[in-house]
Amino acid sequence: MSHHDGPALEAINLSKTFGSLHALKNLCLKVEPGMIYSMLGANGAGKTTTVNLFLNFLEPSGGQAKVLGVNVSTNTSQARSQITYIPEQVALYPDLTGLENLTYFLQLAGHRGPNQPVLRGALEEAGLAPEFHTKRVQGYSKGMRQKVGVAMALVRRSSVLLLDEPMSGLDPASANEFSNILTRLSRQGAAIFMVTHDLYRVKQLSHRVGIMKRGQLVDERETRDLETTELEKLYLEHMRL
Amino acid sequence: MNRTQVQTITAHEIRQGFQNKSFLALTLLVLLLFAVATVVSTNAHRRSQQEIRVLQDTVARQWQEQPSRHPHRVAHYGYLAFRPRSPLGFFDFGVSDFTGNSIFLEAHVQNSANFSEARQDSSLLRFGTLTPAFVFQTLIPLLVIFLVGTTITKERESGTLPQTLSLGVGWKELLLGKTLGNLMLLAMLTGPVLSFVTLPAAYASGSLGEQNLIRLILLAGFYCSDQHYLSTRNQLYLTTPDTCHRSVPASGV
Repeated sequence: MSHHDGPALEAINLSKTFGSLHALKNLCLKVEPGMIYSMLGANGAGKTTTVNLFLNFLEPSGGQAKVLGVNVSTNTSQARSQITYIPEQVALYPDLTGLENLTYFLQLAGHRGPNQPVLRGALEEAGLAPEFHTKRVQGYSKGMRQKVGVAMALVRRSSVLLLDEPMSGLDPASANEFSNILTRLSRQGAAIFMVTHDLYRVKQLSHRVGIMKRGQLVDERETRDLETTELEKLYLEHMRL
Repeated sequence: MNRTQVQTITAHEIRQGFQNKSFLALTLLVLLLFAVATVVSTNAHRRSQQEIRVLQDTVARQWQEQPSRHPHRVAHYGYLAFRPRSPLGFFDFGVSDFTGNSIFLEAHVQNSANFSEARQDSSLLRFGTLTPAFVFQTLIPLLVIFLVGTTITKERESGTLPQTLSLGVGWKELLLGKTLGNLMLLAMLTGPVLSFVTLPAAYASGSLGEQNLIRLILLAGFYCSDQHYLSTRNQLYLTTPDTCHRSVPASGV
């Protein structure tokens, strides 16, 4: 994990337009190391656009996205090398086993010859039963794929995790395991930015929550100050306005 | 340029290629055709060479057996010269079929070459003759298109492209790795046929001397790389970072 003084993730007046559509308007936010920041919002509010801008999958129309102080637009590879990205559906090669997928992606991320016991350990830690390590991914459920993504984060010990609805569709036990791993990674100093619709997990996991509406960050709170019901009320109020 | 990433992607492409059953089946068929083309072409080349030798001997004998004449009359009697086939003609007939094979040499007259296959044959000749070169020029590029034509789009559709890019892999590394991987995969598949079918067939037919071995390998190599380049160029052009950049996040907003 890299050491950096200052926020691990920072958006400075970050904007994105698609033609006449303002997908994101002057977003300013900071995620400090060790913090879990959850972003709530209706579909189309600009949450995934924010993630894509932090990964530089999209060029910003204005402002800057920084990862550990590095501008992702100008130093994309350097910024990405610090990030583990877990999308809603972790994409893996169906003809390879979970272990082979993990090995391949880790090699691409610069891990030279990660050894099998370490990888198997990470997969087990992520909750994937050993008998599935050497099974082809085409037979995996969504939860099992997510676990391979989590194992990747565990081995890489990334400073920043970008999660785009990582727990949608997971069964409660898997979601709980996933939450525990996120909490542990955050305690180890990882900054986690999570886009989600799950208010219960937001309250359970996050240190800070932001609510987005039509491309704007309309509210931002510390979760310790809120009960789950209050959070839900606040969210629904913003959605109604 | 991150060489480790390029090597990893190259190895991955080769492995994926060997796991693609439809590609392997198609390759097997094309290579079988390549082997057949080699045998057919070598026989045709040998037969043609023998015919030329026989005809040339006949003409030479007729020339020698002329009665005693004035040299000027002998010059007007003329001589038929046949163009010998190139040693590597079995691989690629070249323009022989279109330019004519013999020329009548006589005094005061500048004749053009006669008896081209294209003039005598049906128009089917213009669609190509089954030679190893034809397989390289026409069929292997189709195989290359099948193999690499969707290499990026497939990854984009399955979601592995953003996953790969999010790890800090650059476009240069990705495209170079894929190109090298596919090139090596094709070399691995066509190499054995070239070594174990084409070369022995060429030796057996007597059309390949030792001095032509390197020429043949170079010729085949250039055919391979040229066709691979032409076939992959469009794919690489279509997947420039700019065009991919815009389309990676399908669920952009």
